Amino acid sequence: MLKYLIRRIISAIPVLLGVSVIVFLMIHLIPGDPVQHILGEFASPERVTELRNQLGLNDPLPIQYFKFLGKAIKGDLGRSLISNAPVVDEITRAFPVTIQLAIYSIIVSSVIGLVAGIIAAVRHNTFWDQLAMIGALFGISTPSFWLALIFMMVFAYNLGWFPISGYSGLASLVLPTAVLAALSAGSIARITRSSMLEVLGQDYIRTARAKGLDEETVVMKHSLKNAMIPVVTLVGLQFGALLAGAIITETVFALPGIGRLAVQAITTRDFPMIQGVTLFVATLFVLTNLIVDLMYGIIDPRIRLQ
Amino acid sequence: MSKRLWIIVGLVVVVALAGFASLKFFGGSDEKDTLTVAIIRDPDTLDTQRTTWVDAANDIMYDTLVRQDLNTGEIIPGLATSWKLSDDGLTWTFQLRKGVTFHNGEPFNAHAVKATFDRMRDPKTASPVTYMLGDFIESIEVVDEYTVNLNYSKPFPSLLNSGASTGFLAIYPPKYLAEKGNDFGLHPIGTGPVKFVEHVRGSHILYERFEDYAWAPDYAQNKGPLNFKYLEMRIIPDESTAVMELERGNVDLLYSVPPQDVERLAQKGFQITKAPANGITYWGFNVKKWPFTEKAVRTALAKAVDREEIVEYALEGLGEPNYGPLPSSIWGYSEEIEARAKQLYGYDPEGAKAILAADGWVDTDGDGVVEKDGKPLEFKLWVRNFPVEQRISQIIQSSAAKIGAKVNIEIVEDAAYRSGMANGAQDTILWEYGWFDPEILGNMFKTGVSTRTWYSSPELDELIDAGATEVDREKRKQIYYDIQNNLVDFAPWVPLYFKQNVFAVNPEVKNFEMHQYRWEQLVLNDVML
Repeated sequence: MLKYLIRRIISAIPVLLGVSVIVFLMIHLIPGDPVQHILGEFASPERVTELRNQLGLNDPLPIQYFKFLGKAIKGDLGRSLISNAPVVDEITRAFPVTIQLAIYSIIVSSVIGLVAGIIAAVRHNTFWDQLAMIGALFGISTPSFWLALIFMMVFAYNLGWFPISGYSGLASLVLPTAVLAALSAGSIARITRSSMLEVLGQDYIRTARAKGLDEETVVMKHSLKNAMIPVVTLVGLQFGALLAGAIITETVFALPGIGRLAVQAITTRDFPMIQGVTLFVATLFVLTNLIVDLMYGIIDPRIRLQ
Repeated sequence: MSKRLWIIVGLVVVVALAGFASLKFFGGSDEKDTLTVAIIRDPDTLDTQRTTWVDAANDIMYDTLVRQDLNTGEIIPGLATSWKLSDDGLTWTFQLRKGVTFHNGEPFNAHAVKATFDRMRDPKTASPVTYMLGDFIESIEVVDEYTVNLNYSKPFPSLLNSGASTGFLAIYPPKYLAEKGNDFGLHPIGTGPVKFVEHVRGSHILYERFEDYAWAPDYAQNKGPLNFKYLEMRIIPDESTAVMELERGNVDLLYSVPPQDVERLAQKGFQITKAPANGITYWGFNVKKWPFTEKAVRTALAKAVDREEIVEYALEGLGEPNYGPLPSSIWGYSEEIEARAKQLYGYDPEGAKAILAADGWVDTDGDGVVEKDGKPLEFKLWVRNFPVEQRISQIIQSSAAKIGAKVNIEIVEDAAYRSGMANGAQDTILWEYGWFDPEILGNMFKTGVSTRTWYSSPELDELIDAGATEVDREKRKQIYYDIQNNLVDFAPWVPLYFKQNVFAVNPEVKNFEMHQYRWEQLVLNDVML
């Protein structure tokens, strides 16, 4: 087990290196650079060249990359070209908002999604099945900005139960959590349902019923556990995506999370900030995948971690 | 359904209800001592020497040498009590106010002015706005404790109108500045009515009243500290969210109200105040690219666009059509030039068609698009991702179609837009400018920096240089008339309108007055909560 963990962590290094190379190339290949943002439109070409030299942006790309990498290994992601704030500080400030939002949403959406999915599978082709699946369809196809505004309008603006926007503790995260959970609960419900239906049709379930087990044991123990593998995969992916920041939800609710940090960095071509945020998010994604893989082993002992 | 499942469902419901109950008492405090302002844009940095964008959020902590009056637009004393330009136009002398201190207790004097401006000129600062001090500044000289000279090698008459009255030339505390260097913006200090407390990026900026403040500009009744304790700027990027916060009373003052909400907020009793923008939005042609090299095409396209329609439908009436190069709020504006531009380029689709036809543009293949030498009149229009500008671009598109021109709208992200213009990649652009002095025309059209339209003419360059250094006000005005006439004759762009900036203010906030010339400066001295 420990050996497996160490091997997995080592194998994450090339992944992260690859991500950093791709991001580095991408931000240098797309048009626009930070100097243009910093100096504005009326800058003379000489000033632009001067500042580019000063910031080291005229160095050959490999040299720039290794400079960045050398520092990043030591935990120094550099400073924002725009605000001069250390990138690490900005990430540590934005991350608590994002991680809370991600954890709450994934818990809420998993609970709703699993319950709806199980009910739909067990009561296959009944009213409850159809209700759950229509609900799931709505969840998947509703644009998040619309849902966010509607929730805000009803629960914050009209009823006054929650703050409308901004980050001011747990209360301010309820509505954004609801929006994000509604969006991912739909897909979790659908995958739970189809995976459960497949398992419920297996011979061993018929055997379990035949030997007189009550329905609860059959559903919750024999079927659910076996149906969980695709569900866990999906939940892991969704969690990873949430960690990268829910940009639209963060924007509508004016939450200072990772998503907005990334978008602002991209629009100003704040290279160190973009690299730092991406590397950080990629690391989290790799970690999430590792946890998902470990969960496979717990759910299905036949899957050996080697 | 299994028992255990129901237990889980029940638990979730209970937790959710408990959550609701515990969260209900979220709301305003009893005694109001904070003025909350919603802003859309999180400032890049609060160090105004290191940004090209200054607004209330990064300006309010500072004072400047001079100010502009709220209503008359006259230059009035700020940290300088009087000023003088030498006869040869090469030296600006400022007499400074006595008894002013910075938030950290450092005294304000001539040394502070020198240290501030020297720091701006230091290449290590990499200030994008050194031109605010003038390109030909030679030295900043401390004459005595409260007298400072700015020495130039060529006259710089626009100093007061532009740089010296904007946050870009705010005065910083010298010792603290030397200590912090480029980290100054992370915890800035000035002499303004509020001092900096914290800036949580993407969330808010908090300021606290400066208790020793006693040097408010002439336009304020209250010269001393503010009437409320805290100022909070909340960064709310989504307009609809900000409007809801205002209506619920969580925000007292809303910058740039979306046009469609103005009417409704006014009916609900919110104070609506307006101030014209110091600039115009325009449709610019890349005159280095065919077919915009041809005057006939530029003229016809200008005549095809109905500015009234744009203001009415895209801006919901919150603006004024503009035909000449300057809006009426900038010194140097001329009614005659505006009238001449309107006469030459006013809305006249039939006239536009005739001009194109006379120049040899005909629709030979019957697709509704005119051609010349086998090439159709089809081009791109770059637009930013702003709802208002997209509506405008659609109006332009349909207007152009009526005279046989095909406009393809392309939404271009800001950084790509700027680098595209720097490389001359654009066909036509929808863009804007804003400034306080007609020197802005030089910044846009002088050879070397003219990247918006790539218009370049030696004659215009000469005028621009002359205007930038002419000390005599009347002569200077005449030069800017010539510059404007040159632009009207050549028509590298189609000026469209200047917009009204709209503020909405909570009815409980008293004595808020909007600056009619500097909408980005918040005047809070007399405001009562």
